[in-house]
Amino acid sequence: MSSSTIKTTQSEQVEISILGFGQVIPEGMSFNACPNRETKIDFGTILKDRKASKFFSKQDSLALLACHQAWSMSNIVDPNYHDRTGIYLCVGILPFEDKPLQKIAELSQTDGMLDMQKSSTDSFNAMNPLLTFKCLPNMPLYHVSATLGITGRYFMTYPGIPEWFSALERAVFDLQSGLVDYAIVGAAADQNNYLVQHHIRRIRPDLLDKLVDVSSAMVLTTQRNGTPLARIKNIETKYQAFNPLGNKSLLVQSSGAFFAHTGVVEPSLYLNFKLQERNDKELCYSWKGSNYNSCSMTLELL
Amino acid sequence: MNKRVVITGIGAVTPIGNNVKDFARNLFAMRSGAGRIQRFDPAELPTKIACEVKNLDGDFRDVKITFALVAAREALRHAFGQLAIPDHAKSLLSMGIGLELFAVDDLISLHNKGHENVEDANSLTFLNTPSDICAHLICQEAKINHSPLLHISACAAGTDAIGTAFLKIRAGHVQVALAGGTDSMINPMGLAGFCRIGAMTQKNDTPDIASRPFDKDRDGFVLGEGSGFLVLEEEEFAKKRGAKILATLEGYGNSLDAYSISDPHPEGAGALKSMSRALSIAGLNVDQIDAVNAHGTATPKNDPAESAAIRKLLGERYKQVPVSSTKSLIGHCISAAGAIETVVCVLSFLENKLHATRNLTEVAPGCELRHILGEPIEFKGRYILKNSFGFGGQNGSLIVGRWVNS
Repeated sequence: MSSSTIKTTQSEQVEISILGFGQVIPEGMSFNACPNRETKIDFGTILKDRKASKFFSKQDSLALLACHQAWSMSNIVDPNYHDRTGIYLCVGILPFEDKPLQKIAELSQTDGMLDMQKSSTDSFNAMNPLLTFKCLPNMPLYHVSATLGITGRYFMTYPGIPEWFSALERAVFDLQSGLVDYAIVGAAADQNNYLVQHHIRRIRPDLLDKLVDVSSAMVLTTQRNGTPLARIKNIETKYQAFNPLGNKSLLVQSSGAFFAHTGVVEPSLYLNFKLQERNDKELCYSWKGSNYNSCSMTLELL
Repeated sequence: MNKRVVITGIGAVTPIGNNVKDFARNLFAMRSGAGRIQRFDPAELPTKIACEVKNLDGDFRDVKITFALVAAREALRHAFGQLAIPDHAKSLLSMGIGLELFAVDDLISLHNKGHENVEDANSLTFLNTPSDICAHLICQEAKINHSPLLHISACAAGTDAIGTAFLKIRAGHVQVALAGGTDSMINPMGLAGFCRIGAMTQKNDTPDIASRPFDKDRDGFVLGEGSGFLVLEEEEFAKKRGAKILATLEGYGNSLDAYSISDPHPEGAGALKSMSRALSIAGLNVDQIDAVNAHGTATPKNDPAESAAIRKLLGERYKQVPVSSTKSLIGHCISAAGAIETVVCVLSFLENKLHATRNLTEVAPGCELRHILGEPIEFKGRYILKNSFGFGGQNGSLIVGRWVNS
């Protein structure tokens, strides 16, 4: 079976530039080191209502903080931005808070077996209703849109690097089609939790002691106002269908760009790091899972 | 130059039929798929009923994978007479999908033994069936060679998946798309989560009349499950290969409410935007909309907000344009809802009928529209507007059209 290559090049299309970026990473993290595995979540003055933070899962917080940073850096003053901005997010393997999970397990069993009588009473009554909001994977979209007042288009996906590229391609599509003028493309990975650790343990145990909670975002535009940092030169994705049950390693991707495993955040975080360094005229992120499954993005610095 | 998008295949696994033929028969007979939950004992949970898929065996413990495979295969066979999409077509899969299976019994095993002490972690199905497995399996079977597009915008996911595929074909990026959604939250954790936020009905003694969209006695939704898939093609590509065209897809719009984590905007501001954007992409005037397949969940807040948005969109024509909610029959299939309900729109053109909103006996204040009550009605219209609105303010709308060979 043949694979397909999808290319987006600037020469044929409307130019898309990057206005700003944001990221949330553990303190001291660099390409080659990650001395601290804990990521500090600090909303600062972002939330209009501090009480709203009770609705946030770690994933929600990571996504909002990175998107907010990128948006602030972009300094967009367009009064029509609300309807003319789209949000394109990719989250990692779905997390779940540890404490409530353990509580549910403890209160739902008798002699080591599921006991629905107990589950539907003891466990149910102990469940905080907010937990439902926290474990929905689409909630980062809500938090980013509500905080920034964005009512335009959206695309929400998961759980890996190829899917982040799907979000990026959709943003580029909407920008080039004129459906939006600005696009926030973000990624968030809450990885230090019971569920994700379990998943990684089964599929890529070598990454288990490298998991970090990270997020990253960039703001793209077709508009000529503002001070762009870079422009997108090329996006390329290659895919050949594979049997996921026999190729699990293709389901948890990493190019090894960082010492820490940054999951779905890797491509945008890599480019953000490189954008901050500004050492090269051209930046390229590339992941290759096999000869037939790969993604890459090239930026030209301005 | 935009390409025209046509629908050439449909597939469905639903609480009232595990294929399109059975589904259509029961849909227009207005049969309810609701009953007491059989898959597990809901014990003392406040809600004990759901619309479950019946009599469908599969290899996967995460039933939504089985649902997706069965519905996708039916749609592909319908369109091509085989599972594989023709080699020369540029194709893609775009699907809405729900959360990974949250099996509490597996969670208990892991909790008690610890990660390290579980002898064979692979034997545990808890998180052993990540949703992306489903997409790659379908791509492999259908010989799709474009990275699958997975949508997790909750209740809008199925509609967003179809809309995204529509945009890709319209722009000429691909010629064929398999688009739809699959979901099941009918498991102890899923049910408990929805119960905990008070979103579901508690009419446990009368399951067949529990799902009451737009009715004054509604008290929340009935959880459903299933899968719906459509084969979308670029019109010329479909014509060239001699495909039978079932319907057209004319427009898609989506929007963000940016309003409340749990409630839609009370005036349906976001819903109105997604419908208007779908019309704009379709190049249609609002007067050309002949019917609405509503999101219609039967929750106290969705129904009046959606009604307000539809009234604003249609103006005085809201008294004439028929509206129905498929969730009154099959419950709320979450990420699959929009996909199954789009299949319903295609069936409405094929059967020249619109089903009614079951159990709607007295329209609730604020929900005034031209609801179809009691029995299906004859339908000869050209365009149906399909809405899906997600928790957290994500709104998607499609416009499905009757196929008229020009």
